[in-house]
Amino acid sequence: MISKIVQQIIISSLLLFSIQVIGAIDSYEFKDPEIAKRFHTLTYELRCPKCQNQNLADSNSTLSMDLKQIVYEKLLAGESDEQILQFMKQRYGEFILFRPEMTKSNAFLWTGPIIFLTIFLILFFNWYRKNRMMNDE
Amino acid sequence: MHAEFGNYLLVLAFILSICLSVFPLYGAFTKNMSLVYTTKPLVILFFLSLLGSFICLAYAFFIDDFTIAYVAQNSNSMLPDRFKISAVWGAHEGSFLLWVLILSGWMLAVSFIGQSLPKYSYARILSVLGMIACGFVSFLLFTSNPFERTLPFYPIDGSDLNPLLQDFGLIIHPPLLYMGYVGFAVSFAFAITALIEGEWNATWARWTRPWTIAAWSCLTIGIMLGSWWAYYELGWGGWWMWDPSENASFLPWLSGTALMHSLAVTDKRNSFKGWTLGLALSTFSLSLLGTFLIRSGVLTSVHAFTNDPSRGRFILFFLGIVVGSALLLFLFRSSKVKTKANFSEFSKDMFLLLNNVLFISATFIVLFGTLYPLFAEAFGKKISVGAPYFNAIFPIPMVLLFMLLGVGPLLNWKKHDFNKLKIPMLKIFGLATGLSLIAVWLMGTFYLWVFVGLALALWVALGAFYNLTLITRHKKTLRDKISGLSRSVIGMTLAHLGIVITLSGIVLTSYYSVEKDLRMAVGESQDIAGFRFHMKRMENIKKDNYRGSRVTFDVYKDGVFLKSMAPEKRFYIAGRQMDDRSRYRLDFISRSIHSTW
Repeated sequence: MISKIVQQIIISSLLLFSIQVIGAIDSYEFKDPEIAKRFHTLTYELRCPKCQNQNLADSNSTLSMDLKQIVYEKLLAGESDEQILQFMKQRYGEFILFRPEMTKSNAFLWTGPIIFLTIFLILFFNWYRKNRMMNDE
Repeated sequence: MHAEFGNYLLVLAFILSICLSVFPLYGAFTKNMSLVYTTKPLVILFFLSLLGSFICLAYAFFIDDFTIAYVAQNSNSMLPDRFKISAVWGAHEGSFLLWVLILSGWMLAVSFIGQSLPKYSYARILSVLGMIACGFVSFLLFTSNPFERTLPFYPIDGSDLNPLLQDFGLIIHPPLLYMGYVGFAVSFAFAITALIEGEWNATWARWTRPWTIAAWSCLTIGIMLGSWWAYYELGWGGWWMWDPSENASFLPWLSGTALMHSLAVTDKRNSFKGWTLGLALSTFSLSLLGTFLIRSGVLTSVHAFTNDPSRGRFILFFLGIVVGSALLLFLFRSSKVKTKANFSEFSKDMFLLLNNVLFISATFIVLFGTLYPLFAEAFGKKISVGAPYFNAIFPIPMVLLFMLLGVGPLLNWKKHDFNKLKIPMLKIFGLATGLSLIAVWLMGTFYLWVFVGLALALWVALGAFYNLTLITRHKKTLRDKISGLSRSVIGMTLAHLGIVITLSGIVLTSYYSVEKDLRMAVGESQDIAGFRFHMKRMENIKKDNYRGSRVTFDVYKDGVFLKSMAPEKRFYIAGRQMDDRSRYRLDFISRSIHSTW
């Protein structure tokens, strides 16, 4: 008897829950494919602030649903990518940007890899020039 | 009872690993043969006790023993049996037990296959592996014991295994990944032994090579399976997110790839020994670093294990000891060797070394990007370094690498006449860019990166085939040509062609994927990128441990039925967790259909 009741409760809560979830899924329809593309790029490059490590596109949390809706509305209102990103940054900090800005404080982040690569190549060729012992046959 | 027995076996394994790290090594130094001969029995016992311990844990899952905390947290009486087995390595403690078990498996393999090694080297290698194992087993025993009890107030039923992990891909992904991670411990032990003995030469490289290749292959398959799993389980067709946990597996892969190539130079030319040794040491160190990053929770990742600072401290301490002592030994011993460059600019040696320089740079770049948020946080700045960053930076060393890869395999050791290759290379270059241009033209939209990516892929592929024709030019029939290929040539060609396929797949899916959010009802159809999706029906499903609903789509191309796809939304009863499943179908090379809801 009790198990029946528990089952009923589970099933009804399940139904309730699924209705909520279905309600929460919004479809974003775009007339202009160019804007659709920008929407995908933006939701891909913005981080869901409360998830572990997910972007807005992948996350189903309510917060990222809201943020996606904001991105969608701002795109339709004709705002530029830069404006939208700045808006998000002001609200949630630089943490929300998966692509760190190319600013002075991030200069090392963006130049570091190229510096490493150059240093390694220079070191290698330098070593080669110094230790070369090729007797021409 | 089984919990106590499993725990007892774990303690036994700990003691055995201490014996293994002391007796054979001491025996090898004092030339005491009776101590040296303890090596193999100790390894066998060590393996058996860990296997027993693992079986005890699996048994606890199987009989739903919720008095064990780890079982109670990661299983449930409704969980299907096959997932009860994979739940054994579904979370931190159990997966680390599997990790140690796999290490002991590698040790067992070395102890049997390596019997032809000189007796003292054999003892030293297994002793070094014993030390590593000792570190891991003590970590398991003292910070993450899987046999901890919930007594006296044990739960009636367990909370559930994470729904994401209730999947076939996740049953096989971790074991293979760990086989790769831990497998590099073998190359590490070989390198340490060589440093202790002060003798490293081509023979050393010849012994190490097969073990490195085996570990590397496991790691490759493991990463690939993880990617495949992410692709169909996590939804939206993502297969590589540059998540810290993915990077943690990618770092030893990059360094291990460099090691494989440099081992080839040391094996064939008896040179760059110090460099190769260094790589063997750093590859395993990167495995350890990855373990530290993921298991300690210092980096936020989707797949992160529990956040426990004491575990982090332990691994960091262990990492410090291993890397520190290896580095000291390396600096102390290898400084005596001076390597001379006895090859010309245009030679296989040169290209293999450039491969190494580029792979090491790539390793550094990935490490840098992964750790940068940590450093930034130390300076009070919270930033994210995500996929867009890596996608922008990582191609730089890779483009250079692929350019070299088209030529490298064709060259002779030491010196190659550039003029001999000039004409064929120009032809291959023309063919590759031409075909790539045609392919991009056929795709409809021109993207520079797709053109470059495909041209590089073709450049490498055509180079590899040209190389095959060169190698077999003296054979008459096709049959002779194929049977005349050495296994190393087959392996190399397969690996390089694998890179070709990967690269083509990456550029094509990155640029030509179509993604649309649509609202649909049963009976409706939508046309997307030349495919028609017909929503056929929607039904409720009821399985052992979940309820949910499933939608069936029929996919048509030009009016011809291709396949049904059935994504599901599941509700796992025990853990009260929702899970979306997507089912996909691959439509040859370029277009993959993906449905999620």
